[in-house]
Amino acid sequence: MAEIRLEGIRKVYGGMVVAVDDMSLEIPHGEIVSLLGPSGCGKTTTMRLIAGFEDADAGRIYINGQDITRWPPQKRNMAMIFQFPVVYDTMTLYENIAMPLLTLNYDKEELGRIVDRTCDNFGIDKSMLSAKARKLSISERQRLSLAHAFAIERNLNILDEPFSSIDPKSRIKLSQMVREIQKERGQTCIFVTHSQSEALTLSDKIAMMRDGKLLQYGTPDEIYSRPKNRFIGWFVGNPGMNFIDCKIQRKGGNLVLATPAFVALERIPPEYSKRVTGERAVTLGIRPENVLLSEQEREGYIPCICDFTERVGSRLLLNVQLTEDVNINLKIPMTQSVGVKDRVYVRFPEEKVMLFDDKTGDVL
Amino acid sequence: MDRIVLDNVSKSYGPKKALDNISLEIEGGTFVCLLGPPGGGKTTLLKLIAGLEQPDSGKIYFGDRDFTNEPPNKRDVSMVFQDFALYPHMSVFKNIASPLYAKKLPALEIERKVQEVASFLRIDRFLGRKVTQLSGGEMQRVAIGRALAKEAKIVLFDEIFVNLDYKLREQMRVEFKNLVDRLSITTIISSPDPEDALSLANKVALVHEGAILQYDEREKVYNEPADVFTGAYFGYPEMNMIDCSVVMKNGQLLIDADSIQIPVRRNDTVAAGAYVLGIRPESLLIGETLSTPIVIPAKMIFTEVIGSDTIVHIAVGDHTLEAFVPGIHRTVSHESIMAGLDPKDIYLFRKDTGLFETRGV
Repeated sequence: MAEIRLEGIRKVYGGMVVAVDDMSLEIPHGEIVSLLGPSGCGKTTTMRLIAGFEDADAGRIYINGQDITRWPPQKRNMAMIFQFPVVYDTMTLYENIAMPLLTLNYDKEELGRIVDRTCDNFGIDKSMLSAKARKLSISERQRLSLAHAFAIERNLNILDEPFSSIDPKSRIKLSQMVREIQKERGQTCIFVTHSQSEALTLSDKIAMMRDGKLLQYGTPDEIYSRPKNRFIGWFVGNPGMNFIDCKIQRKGGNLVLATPAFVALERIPPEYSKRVTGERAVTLGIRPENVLLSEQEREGYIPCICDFTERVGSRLLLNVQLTEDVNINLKIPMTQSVGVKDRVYVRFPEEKVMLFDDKTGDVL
Repeated sequence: MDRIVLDNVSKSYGPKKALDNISLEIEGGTFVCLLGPPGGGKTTLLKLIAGLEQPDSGKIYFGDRDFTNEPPNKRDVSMVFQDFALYPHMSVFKNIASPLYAKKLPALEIERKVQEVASFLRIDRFLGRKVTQLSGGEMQRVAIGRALAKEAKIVLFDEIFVNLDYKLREQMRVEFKNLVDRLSITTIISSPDPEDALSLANKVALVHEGAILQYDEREKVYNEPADVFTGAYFGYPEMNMIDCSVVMKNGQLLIDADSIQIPVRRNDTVAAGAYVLGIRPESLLIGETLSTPIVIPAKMIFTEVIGSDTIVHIAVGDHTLEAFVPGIHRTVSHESIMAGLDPKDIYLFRKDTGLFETRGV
């Protein structure tokens, strides 16, 4: 049972580069939390601070309420799985799995049972247990190092890009195994990745980071559907959210959202109407799958020209030009047929629209 | 514009056959994607067209002229490499101008051409910078700029989207597509990623183990893949492949794959025998109530979220299948569900040869 808490963690390299800045995060027991963000966002440093490979310049780290900020790594009882699996070539598979258990004084029978169960969990062929690890492929090695980490309960399993060097087929199997075993055993995990797909697939919660700061902490669905700023809306999703710079203007008695060329929304979406009460600049955000498309002219639809089309699974991705400098992406079912240079009409349903501050990019 | 013809071309590196007696004819102005897994011969094929490698046998023509033994500088071809192969110590300007210096053009003309290419690619602001100060996307544009400055009619791009992070790749694909649309050149890209072929090219050549398995219009390769390998490879996620037999039952032909049974509506589309049944993940629907002609009980195994869509792995009898579902979904493992498909969307390949038999029954 372990719950991890970070409180105002800060790490500066060389007195200049702020790698992690005032990071606070609570990881409940038994959950997988992903640290997600582009290269240089501070996710790896955060992980190293939790593991104890780096000392924080400020802030505290707690395990189950106990302050471990100054504890050395070996005392923290955490396992780490790296991108390139650490396996002892000259040892047998059995020894590789059993090694972390040797210091814990299990009797031989109990040890055998744990190794046995671990093999079942990770699909390791038991007839191979006495073979040397040298001959394993990279995905088998990673399986072995995961088995090694998950063999006993620890405070935390830290997975650092564990699937990046594994072929796509085995990657899916392996991430599925990790998810099942982690849930079954109720182990707490931190998962560091730059892949939105892996984060969305595996996590209970995602900590979205940029420039050393925690931008948003929530379930995959919250991160995807309610991004707290435009960067997250753009980073998560394939392709990311569309953004259109608009002005809120008074028209008649109403406030409308408009660009110089078209009216994007006839009124402020109700959920924003309390916070947006006067004329100002805003950024409208909408996901490609939420834009409505019509092949005929219709009331409330904006005319545009299709610039290109691309097939994505069962959907068609369209890029359409609304004005000289406004292009947006749409995802529509394959049943609608639209070609390049076709004139089409789009609408932004108000319940799917998000409004962001035009300067900070934060959601209003 | 001249067509490119490769006639019975072979190339080996030591004992390894990189290309084994391939023939290919590419019409001028076409946008072709050489698609296939790494090590299949794509890069060798590009190098042969560029003249960077000589074939062991066979001929290469541009138009009607035999160019097989002509050196690269005599060919109207330029090539952009995966790692861009820019000169790191030189400015963007000098990188783009390098083929023009080689042609010994007057300085003023070089200046004019570089400016033209740079403004076309929207990198004119960076001309004075060193290439090491650029982002991946900007470096790609410089590499393309250098290829365009040469004003070749054939431009080859070797896996230029590989090793880029997905956000950058997403942006670069769009830019690249727009760019090629504005140029009148013959474009050949190589890629291991079916999404590049699906989104960019007009024609697709499946290159695998030194052979060209199929060369056709993109839609044709998608709808009538030459064989099991092509069918599986060209699509994302990969097509589900299941061994099956077509049998006559009560005067009605039936595709029998244990838990999956599909009646053949027209008896003339396929004969009885052993086949591989192909089902594209996007043709496999899942839900509690489905209106497709075929509905089969299934169990959820795992969901994999890819960007804005989800791949749901399901068990149907002994088969594990993948279904592509738009949007982000989370499912409970082992939950019961129904899987549905329409016989008109299925593919059949012959079990013995692996060759395409029919689509839709």
